[in-house]
Amino acid sequence: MPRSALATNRLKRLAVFAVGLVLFYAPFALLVRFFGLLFPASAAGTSVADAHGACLRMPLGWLAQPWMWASLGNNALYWLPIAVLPIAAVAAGPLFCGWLCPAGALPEYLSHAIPDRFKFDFKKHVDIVPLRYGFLAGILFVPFVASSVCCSFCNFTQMQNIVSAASGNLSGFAFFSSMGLLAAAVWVVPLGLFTKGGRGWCLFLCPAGTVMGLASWASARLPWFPRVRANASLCSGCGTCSDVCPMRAIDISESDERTVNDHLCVQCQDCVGTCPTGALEYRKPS
Amino acid sequence: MKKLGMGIFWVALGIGLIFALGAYSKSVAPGERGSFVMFYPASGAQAGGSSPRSLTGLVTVKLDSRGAIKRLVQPRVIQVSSHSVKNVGDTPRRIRFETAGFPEDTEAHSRDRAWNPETREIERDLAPGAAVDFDLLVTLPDQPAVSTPVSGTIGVVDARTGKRLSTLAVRFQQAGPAQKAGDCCAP
Repeated sequence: MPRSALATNRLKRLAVFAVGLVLFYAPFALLVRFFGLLFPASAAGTSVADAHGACLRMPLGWLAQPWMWASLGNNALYWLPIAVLPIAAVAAGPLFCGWLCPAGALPEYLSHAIPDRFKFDFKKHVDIVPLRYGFLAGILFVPFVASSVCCSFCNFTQMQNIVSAASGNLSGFAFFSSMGLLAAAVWVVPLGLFTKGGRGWCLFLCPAGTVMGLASWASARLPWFPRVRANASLCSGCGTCSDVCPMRAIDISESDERTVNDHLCVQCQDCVGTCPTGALEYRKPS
Repeated sequence: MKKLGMGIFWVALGIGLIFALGAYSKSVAPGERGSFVMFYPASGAQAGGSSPRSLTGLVTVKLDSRGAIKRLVQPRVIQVSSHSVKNVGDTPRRIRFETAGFPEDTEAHSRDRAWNPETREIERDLAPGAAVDFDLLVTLPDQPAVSTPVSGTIGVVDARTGKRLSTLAVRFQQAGPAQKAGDCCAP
């Protein structure tokens, strides 16, 4: 029963990821096109609609490129990742990551094809949260002293190239850079296929996800906002939830509400249906 | 205390790994792509250069810096691209891109919706202050000449009048192996 609930939840998420693909990625990019209709003179209205329309990595990179700040006034869509998604993460957790982001979903779902014994479980070897914030700090401040990796090391671009190619547009594969190829390889292979959960890139190299995780953690104790929460009195400590968590966010050694790490949890709720005792729920704090 | 120390270690490791990636990117990018800004109407150094802070009128791609991955997978295709080809004049313009001097195998792109790939024209008026992006993929000859660098120019032309509004030179430079007296090709 719990395993079938897991399969059902994964199928549900897959359907919503398809919606994310249609909203953000060319040749559809419906959200970008909608903003283009609302603001025809803005970048969303004049540029080809694709995944770059609503990018958070670029505005983060602009900390070191102040002359680019004018772009924020020329593209209302930039405010979606800068403001709307973090505010949504405050209100409901990083649902974008767990339910809408195809670039996070692709390696996660591909990784199901690889037996767990071949995968690296970062949770067992690494303190994920400080390392994740270290990567974010690096992405923010390294551009001041070395080259920015915001654009050159981007999985959204690689995902867009894959989607475009699937729709017959191969222009994304006309030029390869060393960093682009490295990003594609790292995203899919070591941090995807061979990472337990398949979301190694999301854990460490996605600044948008890290910002949303921070927003989610900061607001998780407030009484109005739902998150995946554990009921310690129902938990049998079987570890099934921890095993299926793609973000490695569940630690069963702490059987209270801190069991689910709000820095990492993307509210995918794979764990909720899987728990044989119903100890996990998506709810407001009790 | 130990937990804090370990936390600091992991944060520092994350920063260090991104620094290493950034350093690698900085070392290989100048050999794989030429990034530039370009202004029109303008001439000489005012036409643009490798960044808004470095208006040189010349973009140089240092082929020797290409990364090992690039050399292995696609060594001859180089991208010359700009996020900002900007109208710095006071009248709206309709522009066309012209290239000259590059090897014949080039491919031009823009993400602007009014881009016509056949004519390389942005088929809308660009207001003063407006900018478009432009990418040029250049396929270099099998053996780029070491002593005679491959070079070319990117021009912005008024699509209505044909008047040239700006020109930026691009140079693909390759030092090659050091030559010693006695080598067949040494001067």
